[in-house]
Amino acid sequence: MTAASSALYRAVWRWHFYAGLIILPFVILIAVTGAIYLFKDEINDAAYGDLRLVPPQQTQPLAPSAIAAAALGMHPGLLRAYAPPAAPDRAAQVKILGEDGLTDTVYVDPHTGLVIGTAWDSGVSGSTAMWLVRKLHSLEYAGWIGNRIVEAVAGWMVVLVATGVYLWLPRGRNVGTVRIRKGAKGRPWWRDLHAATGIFVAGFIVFLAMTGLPWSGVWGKQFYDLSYAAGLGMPDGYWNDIPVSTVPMEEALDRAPWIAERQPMPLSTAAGGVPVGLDEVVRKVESLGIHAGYDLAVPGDATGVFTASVYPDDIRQERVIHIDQYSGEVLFDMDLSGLGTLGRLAEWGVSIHMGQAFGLANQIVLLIACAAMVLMCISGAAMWWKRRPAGSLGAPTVPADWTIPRGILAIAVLLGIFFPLVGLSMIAIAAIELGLAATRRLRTA
Amino acid sequence: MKTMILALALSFAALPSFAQQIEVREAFARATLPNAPVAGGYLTIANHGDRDDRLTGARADFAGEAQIHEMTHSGDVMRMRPLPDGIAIPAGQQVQLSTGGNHLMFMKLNRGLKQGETVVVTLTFQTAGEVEVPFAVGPVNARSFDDDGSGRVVPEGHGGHSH
Repeated sequence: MTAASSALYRAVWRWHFYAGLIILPFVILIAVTGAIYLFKDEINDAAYGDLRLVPPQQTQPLAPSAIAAAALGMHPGLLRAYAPPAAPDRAAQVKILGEDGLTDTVYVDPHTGLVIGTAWDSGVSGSTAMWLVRKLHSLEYAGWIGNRIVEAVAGWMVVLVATGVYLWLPRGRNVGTVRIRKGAKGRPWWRDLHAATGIFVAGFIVFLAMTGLPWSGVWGKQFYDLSYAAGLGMPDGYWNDIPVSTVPMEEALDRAPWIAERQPMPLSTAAGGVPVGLDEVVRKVESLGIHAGYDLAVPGDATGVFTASVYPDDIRQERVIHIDQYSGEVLFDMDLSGLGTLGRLAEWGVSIHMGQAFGLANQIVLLIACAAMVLMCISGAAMWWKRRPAGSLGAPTVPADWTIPRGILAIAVLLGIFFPLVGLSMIAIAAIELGLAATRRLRTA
Repeated sequence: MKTMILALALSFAALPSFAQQIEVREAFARATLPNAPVAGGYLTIANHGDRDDRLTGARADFAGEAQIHEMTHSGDVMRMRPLPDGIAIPAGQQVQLSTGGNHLMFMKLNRGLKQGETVVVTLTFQTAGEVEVPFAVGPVNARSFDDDGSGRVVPEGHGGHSH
């Protein structure tokens, strides 16, 4: 190795070392919670099967309005959403904002109308336990700052893969590349384990980090804003700019006074809490061929719409339908094919990231990737622990007169722009390094 | 106003010595929403006798079937299950069937229950036999016999997309 390439090697090693050590606990958290959440449906069915599953019956289930009425009778409040049974052996789920101010999911046997139970509405997670796992995975549990940390960690994972692959290049050394060297013991054994595991899992780490970033606060928001601006993202009405129902009387008042007495006939005028048109709206979205397992949100106010949405394992069946609460007209109907290229890519990425797109194989492959990431953390920490001199951190040093090559600086700047939170943390670390170097120079002067 | 029904029920004429004194008070149901297939029934049962008894069933002309259900809580999860063996009414004690606990479930309703009306339910006790009890129908959100449901509003909520 020439002096310059040796110095570069040490610099990359140093960044890999510091970044790895700092994000290590977060990577373990993300890998473990992610591995659990991959199996959230299976876990929810096992833990809460008595709420979610019912004895299947041949008879036609009760009408949605009857199921909603049964739920509201046992759990008074405001109907927020209705989810028909996704399969003949599943309970219907009725979401109700109760008098206590909490939204609960009421599980109803669609054949008898009996309320099986209720649970706090944990949204897409399906249970409080899985909600907690999800909030720990994104660290939103610790507020927005936690979420920013996880976003930075995701970016740093990409940096770690890049620097790790660079360090992995054998360069004629007698080191393990795809398997552990024969007879390796102690630190070389851990080093080879780290390198060999890393080279196999590198692609998965980058994929998981990149497909996780659309959820993030800074990168994700920029991603969706920019792809929307470029016409490649989520069209209006899919998530944002949801259409409104127009109250018919307002039009009639303007144009024809004689018809002003005609009252609007909203489908959603609550007949004792259940929209009278609920059955009709359910019939309509099902006639449009919406995938089973969808959720129908009922209008929250005078201009609100019925929104049927579904994000099934088969991502191509993803769909959002908005229906005018007065006319019953379909105001918006879009599936995955209606999204912009980047929006569609993000949805595919999210679906694979969550282990849904390719079924059990998808879940198992990602479970192995999560286990490998934990192994990377353990082996990385073990390597450092074994070579660390007593009483010091044992970070790799760089020659004092070494300057950063322009190419590396350019890559770092580009990385910092692409992952703004990586950039911010790079600046912070560089500032600490410069500060430490300055005090060292002062002491030795 | 409190409705007091003192049901001095003689189980069987042939066994007068086993007479049980079962008292049912404050029996009510919630008014049902249109199309509702089920309704809950709530009441307080006091056993003034000196023998344990057991509520084993109920029937009413407005329901095709009635069951006794238990309600259990664990964490944020509430579960409701039929109690095929009914509910014990120990001697000298009173047992409450409430909106937050064990209750009657009227199923296969053949008509809706309207607030303000009174419906008759026949309760079956293991020892006291059958007891006819008038149930007052309260508001859809009644929590107790004399709860007019007012003063409690559902707070304004907010929605949001979550993927």
